[in-house]
Amino acid sequence: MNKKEKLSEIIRNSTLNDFDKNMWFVFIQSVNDEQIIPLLELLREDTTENLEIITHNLKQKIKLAGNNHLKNAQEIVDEELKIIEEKLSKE
Amino acid sequence: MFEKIEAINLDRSKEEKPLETINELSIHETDLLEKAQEKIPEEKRGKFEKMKKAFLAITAGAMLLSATGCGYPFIMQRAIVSGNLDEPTMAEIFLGPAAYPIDVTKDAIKHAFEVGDTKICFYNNEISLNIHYKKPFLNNAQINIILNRISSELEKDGWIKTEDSNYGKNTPIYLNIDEAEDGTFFIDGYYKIDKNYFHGRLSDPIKWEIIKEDLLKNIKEYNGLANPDKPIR
Repeated sequence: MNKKEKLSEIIRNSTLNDFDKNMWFVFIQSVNDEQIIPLLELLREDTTENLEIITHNLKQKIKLAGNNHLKNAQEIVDEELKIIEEKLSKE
Repeated sequence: MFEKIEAINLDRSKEEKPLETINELSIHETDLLEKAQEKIPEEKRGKFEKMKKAFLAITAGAMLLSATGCGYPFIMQRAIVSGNLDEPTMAEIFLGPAAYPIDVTKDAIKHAFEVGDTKICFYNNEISLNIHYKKPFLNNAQINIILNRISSELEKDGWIKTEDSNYGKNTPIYLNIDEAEDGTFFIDGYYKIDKNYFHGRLSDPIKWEIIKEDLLKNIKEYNGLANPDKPIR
């Protein structure tokens, strides 16, 4: 099973709604296997929680690409740092 | 743990240039995450690195989506076709690169109106496709291209195109596509005879399945639509 198939399987078996699953399938179509590796690495642990985090992150970035009124780049990076901070503080 | 990061001042003139916007995010994101990483204890850098790489991979993917025309919120949207006000939810369509506007519109028209002895007609471009997005992402030129293509496609399918302005004006078709708060879209079709409006009628619930090949094809075609100056690859 290649990386794309692996991520597709994780998405398919997840509790994400159809809307979010379809978004991921389009994403997976657009990237190559190498670009999937960091996501699979992250999803090895805390799969459900991390999938929610990156799903939210992907939505934010797609929205930013379509219209930067929604949430600006600053807020996205701020949020990423906050998430990482919370993750690290748990250790 | 982290210092407040400097504000990123995006150039407002780039609002309609998704690729530039996401590129700008990419540059700042990489820079800021790396700076933040340098300030944390060595033993925690591995975990930071893993998160950072995942976020950057998503940005890279979002850039690719933008480059292929899918960065537009189409990817995020799905629509409910609504014809009869008493039974509003009759079908579901996934829009997006996966759901080519013409196909969506054609199917919506076909199922939103009674087709039989009564011919559905349209007058020039008076099939009115009203798209109400919370956040505009198609400019007028792009919407006109969509409308022209819809007219052309319908004509090929044998739909009557009349130059009789009286006839046409009596039977304009309207499709309203409204974006709801949750990102879904509502398509409401209706037509007008004289001064009275008649809502279309749907028969059976229909769900459109999108296959991968169509998805890729539509990505390319949508790219052509979103970038009218560039030929469709």
